[in-house]
Order: sequence, then structure tokens, then C-alpha cells
Amino acid sequence: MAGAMKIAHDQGTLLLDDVPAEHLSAFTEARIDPRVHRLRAPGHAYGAVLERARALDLLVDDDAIANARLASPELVGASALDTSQPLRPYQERAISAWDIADRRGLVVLPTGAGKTRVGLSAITRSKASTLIVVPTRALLEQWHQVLTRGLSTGIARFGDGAHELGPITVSTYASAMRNASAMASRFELLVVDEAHHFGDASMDEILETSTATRRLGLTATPPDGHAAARLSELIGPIVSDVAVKDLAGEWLAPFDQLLVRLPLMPRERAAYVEAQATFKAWVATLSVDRDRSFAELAREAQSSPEGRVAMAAFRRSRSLLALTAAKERLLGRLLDRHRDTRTLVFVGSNEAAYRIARRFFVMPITCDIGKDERARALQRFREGSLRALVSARVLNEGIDVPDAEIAIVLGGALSTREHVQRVGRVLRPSPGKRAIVYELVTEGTREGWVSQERRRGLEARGEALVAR
Amino acid sequence: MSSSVTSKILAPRWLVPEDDRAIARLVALYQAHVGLRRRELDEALARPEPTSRSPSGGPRPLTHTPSASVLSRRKLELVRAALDAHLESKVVARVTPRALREALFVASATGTRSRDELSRAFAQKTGLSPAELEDALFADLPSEQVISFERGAAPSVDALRTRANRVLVEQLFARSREIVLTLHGGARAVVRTAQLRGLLVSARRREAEPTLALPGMAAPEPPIVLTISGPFALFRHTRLYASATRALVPVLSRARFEALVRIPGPSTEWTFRLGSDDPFVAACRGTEPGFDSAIEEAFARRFTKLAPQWELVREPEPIPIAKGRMIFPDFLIVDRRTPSRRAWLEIVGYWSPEYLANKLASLDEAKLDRLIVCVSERLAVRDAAIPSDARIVRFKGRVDPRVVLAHLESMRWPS
Repeated sequence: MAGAMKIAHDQGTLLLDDVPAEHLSAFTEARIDPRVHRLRAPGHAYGAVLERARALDLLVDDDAIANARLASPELVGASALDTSQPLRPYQERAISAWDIADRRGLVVLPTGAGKTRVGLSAITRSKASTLIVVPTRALLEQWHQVLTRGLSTGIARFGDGAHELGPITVSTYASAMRNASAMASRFELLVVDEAHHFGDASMDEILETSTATRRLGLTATPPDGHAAARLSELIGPIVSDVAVKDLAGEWLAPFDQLLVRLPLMPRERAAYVEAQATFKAWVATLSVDRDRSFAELAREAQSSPEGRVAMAAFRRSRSLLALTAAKERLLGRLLDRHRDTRTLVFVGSNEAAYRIARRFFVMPITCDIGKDERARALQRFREGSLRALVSARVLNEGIDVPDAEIAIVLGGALSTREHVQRVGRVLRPSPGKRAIVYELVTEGTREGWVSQERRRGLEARGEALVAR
Repeated sequence: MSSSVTSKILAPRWLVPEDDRAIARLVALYQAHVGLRRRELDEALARPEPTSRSPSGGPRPLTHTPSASVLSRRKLELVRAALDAHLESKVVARVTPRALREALFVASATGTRSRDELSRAFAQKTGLSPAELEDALFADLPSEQVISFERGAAPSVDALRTRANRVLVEQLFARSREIVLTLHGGARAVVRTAQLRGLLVSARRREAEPTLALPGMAAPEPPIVLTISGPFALFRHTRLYASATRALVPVLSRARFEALVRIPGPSTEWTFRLGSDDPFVAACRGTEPGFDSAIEEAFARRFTKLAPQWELVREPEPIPIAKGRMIFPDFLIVDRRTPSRRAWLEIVGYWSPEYLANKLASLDEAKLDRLIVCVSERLAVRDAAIPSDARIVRFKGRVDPRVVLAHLESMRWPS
């Protein structure tokens, strides 16, 4: 096209050529790159650049990007899916809101409310080449299965040893990050599962380099503050926000939360007090000129022998709280009491998961357990030949655990996000079901306020912004 | 930061022969754990060493400052990374852990026997003691595997020190925003590696320094200065190019060089200076990637045999094109009988579409009057994409020297 401005793709960036000089300043996303003397914009600005060109009535030649796109997928299963698994009303509202918002936005749904189904719907509506990015290998496998079952064969996998690119590709964050430049121009639609992981710059390049103009983020727990604003730029605004309380009873099972306060044995108490004192004494020696995150504290500790002793003490106290004698005794009783009911045990670390696995002969689900074994264990759990699973983090996010009714939380991070996700694991509804969430907390330790903090996350988060 | 300040530019804090005793102690600690589980090694390494407050005696600390016979934390990490690369681990268990887990956990969930009864019953069935059985239960976890050294022996302290220094350089490169390389030869391999990895390279010749040329000797070629960074670095500092920049390290060992590595810190930018005299280069030799060499080497061998009257110059001098850029053709072919007759040859093998587009655009821009471009049929390049003045040779697998020779002989040369 003569006289047209050209848009080319270069490794996750856009090169804009032949932009009329009088309009250069209109393309605020772009900068002159002194290394090549050309106008360059980040890949995610593609949609915005097109819009500006349209507004200025400029001809655009973006064949280079169109040619790089993978073909649209053939969605043979799409209509069958709508009959076999029709959208629930709140899912329908969410996807319509996304549609209206120009197919850019974040859908907030509680765990267990069918986020994946909304993702599938976005793909069938867009009928476009799609990249789905997921945080873990376990979720890669799960999305792959759901997409294959629901939409089409030949779903490509990128990550966990596979390197396939296809019209519909599922990738782990890690692989998408490593291959961001190569993937950036291939897809029109980007689906970001567990989207709350983005916005803090650590992996944002996946979203920043992508030239996908359609974007859907899925999460149960949107971030706030700066990360929320960044997420809104990179994916789109929150288009639908539904909380647990909106769905409990009809679309999510009703549940009871039981907080059990447990003591430390005298010997444990002494060890805990000693370890805490060692740690605090070291912290007190630090300059107070600024606040430090825990990660900064840990890094600082590495530079002195005293710091390293303090960190070792901290790890000792954490390991001690992970499974105290009282927790162990009560866990044994609870596992016994619910031995005919599917039960999930959540702990703070893999180490604690293995300790419980050894102590009670309960199957652990961790990142070290291979995908075949994990799939088989989940299958057995579904059938009932395994009744309990113990996990630190792998079960927190996304993995479909069928119909578990009991959650026992022994420890974990401070974040309300983690707690909401864990509780969500037992909220899949079935007739007559009432889930129970036990939270075992050691009195007189930091677990007390950690528990208070994380429970706040189950309160309502405020009303949805659009399309309720 | 692992460096010492020398005015505004920093020198990396290398591992030096004075560190050898501490390295040797670390190797000994690893050796003492050969045949044990990885977790036991990790625990030994994590154990807080005796401090000034603790009673004297006991094992000597592995890390400490500032005594010379111990390593700083940072150096310890580098040596560990170098050592870990030589470590293997394997599952040691008399029953398959995965099968044991499944059988035992299912029996526990579906039966009525207590944990200890089950443990005893399974032990009996497998001929192990209950303790051995429970040891085998998770023996396949990475932390429970048994470690040994590759080829049965630990690497020498000397090799480890150099290797750890290479790890240090790789880490600096991986964190860089921009790398400025001054190269006395070998520029082509660096440019190629950088471009293949999606990095932007701008090249210029450094002004020749006034030197006293000895009679009968040509003045040395002025060095080439390459500035290397990733496209996205224009917008913000990113780790996107960590593996690309790391891949440059082995290619540097080919010739003399100096590197300035710019790394953004929280408030200010750090610049590290390193060069071919630094103690990491030996660990790079022999590890350069052998990219297109197979096709090119085969061609060179067969062409030289077929057409002895033509001299084939590999990796010739780069040719400057507009805006401070240079291109680095694969071959220059010179007629031995009439050296003014010369043509450029470029073999385009299997690259990414973007690399190819850039390459062809640069060649076009260079306006080389005698250019032969050999294009792999796998790339499905349209003729229109190739510089209009160029001769095109399509090839499958290998480049036919007879076709190239035919092109040379049919060219019209200035008289």
C-alpha cells in the first residue's frame, strides 16, 4: 500500500515506519529508538496504535503482523459444548460484559464457579488464534484436557517439556516468558488464567510483548493498588466481579468455617520462644531507617553470620508451627472422623506435606509428584479409593478437585488470596452438600493474626462494576 | 553487589587463587556427601557456621568475612553453581517409590488397619524392615535422591574457580540492560549469535589509535565496537534477554575483547568492566555454539576442491552500511588470478522469519554489487524478498559448489 504507515513486529515490539511527520506525536505509545532510528512501541500497544491511525484517517499496512498470526482454530465441539455444559447465568453475564468491553477485561469469579468455562466461551466467540497462559504445569494439563474435550483436537502445549504452537496453545507462564518474543505476534486472543499474578512487573513482559488485541483475564482474587492499575492497562478493566457470597447456596455449596485454637506443648513452647527471640534480637540490631519486606530481610541476613543464625531460627520456628503435636493429634482425629468423605489437607510447605503423608499415609500432591502420578491420584480421589490429599500449594489454584467436602487448613501464607482459593476447593455444589473448613491455629503465636487476616478475604469485596 | 569500586566503573569480584583453599574445603564437603541424599548435603551447607560468639573449635566455617581462607556468600554461591553442574543424582530404593505410595495410600484409605499395622504388613510383603519401607516411600523426590559426581570424580579446584568465574560473567550478562563490546577480531560470530537470539546490535569501528607502525608491518585493524541490547529494553529493564545475553559469553573466547556491562540498580546504574585477560575465559574455550558451521564447512571444503583458482575467505571484514550499522557476510570469494574480481556469498540456513527479514534488508541496503545469496528451500523465501541485484541459489540440505561457480563465471567483471 503506497502512502500507508507500516507496522512490523520485532521481538515483542512494534516498528512503525512511514508515519507522517505531523502525526508522530499522536502515537504516544511509541518512542524513537536511537539504536535503529525508527519508531518503536511495545507489542501490547498494537490495538491502540491501530485505533490512533484510524482516528487520524491514516492508511495502515500491517501485513507483517497479519502474516505472523496463526490460523483461526476449527472449533468442532463448540455447539455441542453449549448444549452439554450451558453457561450459567453469571457466566453468561461475565462473557457478555467482556464482549461489550471490546473483548478486553478481567472476569472475577470465585474458585469453583467455572472460570475455565468462561475462557472457553471467549474462544468460541472470538474464533481467533488463542494463547492461554497458566501458572503451573498441573493447570497446563488441565486446560489442555478441557479444551480438547470441549472445543477441538490438536490443542497445542508449550511448557512441561512440550514445544508446540497451534491455533489454540496453552503455555505455562515460565515458558511464555522464556519465549515471549517468539510468541508475541502469533495470537489474536490472550487468555490469562489466575491473572492476579501479573501487574507487579515480574512477569508482565508476557502481556507487554504480546500483540494480541483481545484479552481476557480470569481470577478469583484481583490485586489492588498499583498492580490493579497495571493489570487494567495490560488486560483491561474488571468487567464482572462475583464473590463467594453471591453464589453460595445455589452455584456454590454452603459451608461452615470452624476455627480450632490449639496450645503448644511446654517443650515446643520453649523451643518456639527461643527461636523467636533469636530472630527478633537480630532484627532489632538492624537500622530502622526503612521498612523491609521479608525477602529483603532474608537477603540482608545472608551477609552476616548473626543474620544467618537468625534466619535458621526463623525457619526452625516455622517448621515447628507447621505440625505441632496438638495439630498432629487433632488432624489424626479429623481424618478418622471424615474417613468416608473426600478431604483436602492444606499445609504451609512441601516439607510439612511429606511429614503428614508419612505420618498418616495420605497422598501428597506437590510440584515434585509427576503429572501422571498426580492425574492418577486425582482419579483415585474421584473414585473414592483415596479419601484425602495433602498439599502445600499445588491444589490452591485452579486444579479441579471433584467434590471434596472437607478442608483442613494447618498452615500457609498470610495472604487472603491463598485462603479464598483453598476454601474454594470444597465449594463445588452437589445436592444436599454442606462443606466444612477447619482451620487449626496455634494459640499465642503469629498464626493467630495470620488467620484473622486471611479470613477477611472471604467477606464480600464490593459490588461488580458492570453487567450484574 | 559482587564487585569492588574503581571510580565509576566496577570490576567483577573474581574468584582468585587465594580462594582455592576454601574451594577445596567445599569440594571436600561435597565429596563427603557422595552416596548420601541431596537433602543431607543441603542441610550441611545451610548449617549456620560458628560465629564470633560461639565457642571456638568445631568445623571451620565455609563462609566468613573477611578472613582469606573462607569464601564470601556470593562467591560460595558461584562455586556451588559450578559444582552442582558436575553432580548427578539417582533414586536408590529397593521398591519403586511410586508403586509403593499408590498401594500403601490406597490400602490406608480403603482398609481398616492402623497405620503401623499397614506399615508392618507392607514391610513383610516386600522383605524390608518397616524403617526401610518408610525410607523408600519418597526416595524418588529430588531432595531424597542419592548424589555422586559425573564420571565419578570431582573437578579440579582450578577448573572450578574458572568455571565459577564464568558463571559470574553469565549472571552479569543476564542482568544487563546493555553490553558494549570492543572486539579485536571475532566480531562476526558475536554479531551472529546476538542477532540470532533476537538482540539488537549496532557496530562501529573505533578510531585507529596513533601507533608507530614498524617498517614492513601493516598497522593493525582498528577494533570494532558493538553495542548490544534487546528491542524491548527501550521501554524498561527486563529479564527477557537473560538467556540471549548469556549465550554471548562462550563466543567471546575467540579473540581479544573488552566488555562494559551496564546493569540498572535501584537508584543508579552499575557498569562492570571485564576482558579477555580476566580469569573466566579459559572456561569458555571449546564451548562456542557451532551454529551454521555444518552447511558452511561442507560448502567451503567442496568449493575449494572444485575451484582452486578462487580463494574462499571465511568471515571476511564487515561492511559498513548506513546509520552506524555493519553487515557481516559469510564469505568473500576472490579470483586468485585477478584479485580485483571479488564477490560476496551469503548462506541463509534455518533462521527465524524476523532474523531473515533483517538480514535480507541489510544486504539490500549494503548494495553489494556482486552478491550471491544461497537460500534454504525450507525457508520458503519469495524471490521478491531477496535483494534485487543478487544471484539466488536455492538449496536443500547442502549448497552445490558447481552452481555457485557457474554464477561467478557468468558475472561481468570490470575490465
